[in-house]
Amino acid sequence: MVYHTLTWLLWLCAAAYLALVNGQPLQTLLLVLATGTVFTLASRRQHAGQSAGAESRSVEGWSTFLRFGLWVWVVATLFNLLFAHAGNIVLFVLPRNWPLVGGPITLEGLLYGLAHGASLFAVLLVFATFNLALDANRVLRWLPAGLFQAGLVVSIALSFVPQMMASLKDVREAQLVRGHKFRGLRDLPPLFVPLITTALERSLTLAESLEARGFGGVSPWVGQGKTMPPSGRGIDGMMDTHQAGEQHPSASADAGTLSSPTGGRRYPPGRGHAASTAATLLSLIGLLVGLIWRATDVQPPWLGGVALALSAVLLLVAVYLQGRGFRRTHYRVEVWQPRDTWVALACAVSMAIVAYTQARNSLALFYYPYPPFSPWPTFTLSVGVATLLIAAPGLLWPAQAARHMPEKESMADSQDDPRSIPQDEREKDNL
Amino acid sequence: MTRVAQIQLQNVSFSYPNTDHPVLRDVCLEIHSGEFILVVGPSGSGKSTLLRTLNGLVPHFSGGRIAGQVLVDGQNPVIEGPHCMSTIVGLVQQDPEAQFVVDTVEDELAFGMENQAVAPALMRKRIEEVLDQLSIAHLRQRRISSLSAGEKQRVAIGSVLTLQPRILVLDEPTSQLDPQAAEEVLTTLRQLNADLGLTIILSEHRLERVVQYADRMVYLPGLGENLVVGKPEEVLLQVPFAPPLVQLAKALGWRPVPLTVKEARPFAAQMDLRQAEPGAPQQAEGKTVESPAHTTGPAHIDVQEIWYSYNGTDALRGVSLQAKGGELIALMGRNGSGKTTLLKHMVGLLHPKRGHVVAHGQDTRDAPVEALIQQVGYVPQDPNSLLFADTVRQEMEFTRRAHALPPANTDEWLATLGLTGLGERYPRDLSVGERQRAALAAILVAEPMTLLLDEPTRGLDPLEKESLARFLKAQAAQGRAVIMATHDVELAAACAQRVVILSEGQVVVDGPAREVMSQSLTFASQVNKLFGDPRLLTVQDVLKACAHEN
Repeated sequence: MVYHTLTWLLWLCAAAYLALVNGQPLQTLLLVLATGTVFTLASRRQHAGQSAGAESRSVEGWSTFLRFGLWVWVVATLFNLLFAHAGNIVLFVLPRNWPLVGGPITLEGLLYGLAHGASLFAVLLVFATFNLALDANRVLRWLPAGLFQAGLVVSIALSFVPQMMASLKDVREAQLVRGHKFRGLRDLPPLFVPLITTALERSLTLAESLEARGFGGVSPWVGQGKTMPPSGRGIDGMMDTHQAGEQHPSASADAGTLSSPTGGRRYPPGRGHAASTAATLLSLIGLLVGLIWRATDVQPPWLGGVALALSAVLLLVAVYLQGRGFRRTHYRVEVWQPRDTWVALACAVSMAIVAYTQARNSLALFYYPYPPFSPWPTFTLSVGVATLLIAAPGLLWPAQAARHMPEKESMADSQDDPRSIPQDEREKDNL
Repeated sequence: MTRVAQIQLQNVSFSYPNTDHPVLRDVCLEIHSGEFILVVGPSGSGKSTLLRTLNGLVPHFSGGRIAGQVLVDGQNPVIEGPHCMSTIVGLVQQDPEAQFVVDTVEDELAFGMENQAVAPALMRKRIEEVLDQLSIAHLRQRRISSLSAGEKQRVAIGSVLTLQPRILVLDEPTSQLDPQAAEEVLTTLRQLNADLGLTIILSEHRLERVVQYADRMVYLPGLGENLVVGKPEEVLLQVPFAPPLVQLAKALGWRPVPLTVKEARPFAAQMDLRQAEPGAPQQAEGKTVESPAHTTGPAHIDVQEIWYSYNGTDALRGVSLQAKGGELIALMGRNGSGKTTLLKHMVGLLHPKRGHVVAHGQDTRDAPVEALIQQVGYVPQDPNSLLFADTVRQEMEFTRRAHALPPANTDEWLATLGLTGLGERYPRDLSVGERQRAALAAILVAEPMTLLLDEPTRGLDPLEKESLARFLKAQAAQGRAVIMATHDVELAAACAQRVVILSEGQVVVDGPAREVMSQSLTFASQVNKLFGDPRLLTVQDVLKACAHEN
């Protein structure tokens, strides 16, 4: 963990913002280079913690993902080149009687395809870099408690992407040596059925493991006066209060059919729960109404906006209410370091520049090679600076983290720990 | 013992949803605090189900119908549910990969406690304790993906120990590990049991490694039959599963039944197999007829000085190996020593950076994979990556079509692989061993002359392993070359004629199984360790020698 989670989040915002709004290919190219630097550094750090010869499935997975991204780029370019026949600068002409591809093949078509593919690739690269550099579970800490479970599900789903890429490779090899050839849709099942079933089986195992470690419910001492057991044999203390609190009849649950998890006190009962459910429902209805209002041009238009804003607030309230029932503590406390400030500043400046450009000189970000526009891409200095600022994490990357020395790295990491202890204690006092 | 049992199961029956036949029927079992319990039984006999009733995953997670009474530490998991039980019972699963939520060791250890809202200071203390107990303190900052399988499994144990359960339940925790890693995990368990008095309930197939640590053993015969519970020595005599030593003890009447090589030494010393010496050379000669030097004909697979590297790390460094028809070769060595890489070269999935691989007269670099697979069949480590069809029979028919071969008599193949009657079953519903054989069937139906297997015994129970060994021997006898990468010393002892040991991408030893396995510390079978005699690798060898003596 080189930078603070919030720093990375800010970086993601800045990089994704630029990647999404910018269409100018030269600027996109620069963005790909800047993000690529960060990606390389992040992947090197991954390798550093590993013993030689150990497979680095995470890096491998994301690299496969990026190779897939390159294919998207190539396909997007070819597609546009062959099927878009507009433009003035004709490279060559395919016979007219060829279906779809027949007609003039233009430079504009090529450029637009290239630019479009580059933009797609840039977005994928930003996404991959963020995932590689930051453990998703650290982002989770910053989610409101009510969204924690949903967030964890998303993060697990994301962690399945590289795993599935790696497992796709295994399946493809296994089927290849069995004589499977990929010729069309008919040949998909041998590849995808093993892939999906393996992923499903894996997720079931994970779900069991989560369940067996007490995930997905409130801690048993909620409602028992929130007394934390004294240190040492914490469980003993806890179990005592627990048993005193509610004695279950030990009679057997005779042949009770339990097709779904219906364990006794899994969710906090009572008003809070009902209120949050009501608030969620209301806010969702509000959002729906607001969207329909805006989409259908009903007068007055501002009322739709108000509905949207109100329901958004209501949704936040719902999330807050939901979160009150959950009790979680955090083991790690992150430390904001000077380099975080610098990177955050760089990202903020980058975003500000892009936002300003978008408002004042949107043509600097817009690219459309077909007439009446010029086919030649432009380059705006300010956007270039904003793009370069995206590489800031790479510039301030601490030297020891990038080196291939696990011991050094763990020393650097463990330096953070003593500093975090006082904060731990403060948290304990709050409890 | 008058004290109340920590775990009480009374007449527990359970069946999964949408099935009629119960997995568990009238199970009665009492386990006392601090016991080390070994649970064994054929795959699919309900071991996992039994273990999961202890923390409420069955029936809360699985669904289904449960009857009878379960009491664990005074709590009823059927009523309390897995969440409540998580502080009493810790569960560790088979696949070390699939049970982690977050990606660094420390965070993973903290995850359970965070869910229970344990105070941060207490969390820190418990994590330090667990790191020391499991001797994984040096791994604390590491990413889980960078750990070895044995380390991963110890972290998985740690991640449930931080909740300070009093019972640790492990569902075949070593079935996916190589012997060294398995040893690490089992040693850890023994220490936890001895030092902390933790109750340990372990299901396991590699009996020879654990049976001596168990206080009691539970045998689940499956099919709703009654459990056999008792001291390992007693239970082992009654059940078909037995490590080689116990098989010898059964056959030769050694009492009390020895569980370790050390305990068996006095018995072995009494047997005077030296007298069998005059007859032995004959037997040895009989064996050498099959040995590589005498196998005639051109090599099916000829690996010539190949080099290969993954991302700059050398995986193979000048490996040469010839395999002829009728040979059964065991490829052994540590994890990461290049076994899988070598097998992949033989079927043309990988091409050497230097050197050549010639398979049935074709250089793998020039020949397309389609041509190679007509002669070479490769069964990957994970049968799941192969199986996709709705029935086992369709799997086989698919392979025939893919090889552009006419439809074959699938029944015959099913019969040879012991899959008769399973042809119409969904492959993924089969037990691990059956799945492995279904994958084998899917490859063998193309009738390749060379068969490559990568870790074929993963997760197989001892009986399934035996039948696999017999099957592979029969294949070799039909003139096929069989090369298997394996960690399983007993399997190699039982069927291989030749053993090749790889280390760091180089062939360290290549020779007849008897020679290699009797001169090695790590690769010696249990029987061989006991007698220290190159002629005696398996129980059969000893029994034959005895018969000769009489």
